[in-house]
Amino acid sequence: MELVIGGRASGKLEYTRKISGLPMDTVADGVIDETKQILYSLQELIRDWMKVDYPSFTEEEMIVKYLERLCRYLEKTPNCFILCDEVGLGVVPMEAFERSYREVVGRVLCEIAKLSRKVHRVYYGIGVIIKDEANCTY
Amino acid sequence: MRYLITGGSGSGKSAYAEELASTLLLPVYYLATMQAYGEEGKKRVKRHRSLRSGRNFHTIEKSLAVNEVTIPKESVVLLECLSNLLANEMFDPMGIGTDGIVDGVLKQVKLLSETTTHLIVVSNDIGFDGFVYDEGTSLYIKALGELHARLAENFENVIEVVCGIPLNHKAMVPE
Repeated sequence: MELVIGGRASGKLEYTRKISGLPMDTVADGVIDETKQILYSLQELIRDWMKVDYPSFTEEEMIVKYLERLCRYLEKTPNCFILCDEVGLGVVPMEAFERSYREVVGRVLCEIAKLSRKVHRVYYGIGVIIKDEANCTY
Repeated sequence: MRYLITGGSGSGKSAYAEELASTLLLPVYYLATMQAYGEEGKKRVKRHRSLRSGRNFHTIEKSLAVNEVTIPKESVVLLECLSNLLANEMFDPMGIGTDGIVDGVLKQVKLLSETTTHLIVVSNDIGFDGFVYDEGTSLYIKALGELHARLAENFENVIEVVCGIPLNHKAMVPE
């Protein structure tokens, strides 16, 4: 598994398709689909999940739950690419949900990055590999 | 040695800074600047405490004038975090206010760095959302950016943490 992060509209999908050679019909946009190798817009998927779970669950509970869902996908689709916007780099929002959302996305990404073989950070279509380990879980 | 460590929300910057502090082989003084407002603030403080609970850190709570703490010379000070200190100094009635805020906070950090062997300053990256905010928030974003730039210029080590991964923008090997 490889993780691709970057700002909104920074060219993550195009970059991923270029390095992987994967066609558009392998892209699952904001949903988990074990038959597709590119999981695009993880941040939207987490937002949808949190709309259901917030505020009944704590941040810790949500993070554990979402990681379990993502790990099930990774077990079925180990050679995948997970793409996610970096959402935590602005002013901390006034709305409690938005603060929690950024925290949860950030911390889920920390865990996904640990499991990733490679982590790419995309700057306007140019990828910088910030982690590259042959020895990893997925 | 002085370290500036920045990252966004949930980037893993605190965990990285704490790990770094504990590798420096000196007593660590954790200087907590956050004023915990409401339930959510208390929860965040609690989570950060539990992150540190396995470590033998001395915690000092100081939300303003961080240079006024007394710390042994042979030590590591972990300032967590600069973004809260700035907000307190800017908006707390007891703080510096907006005039001369950048120089005021820089002076505190400089005095603090002179009292200790290693200083680790953790801060929050907030200027990347392209949003237009009210005047107070805009001043705050500008002041924090300026502080980061000045510290990055003077500190020996500047590290951005992304998804828990440290990116060394500036590093000095100890002699």
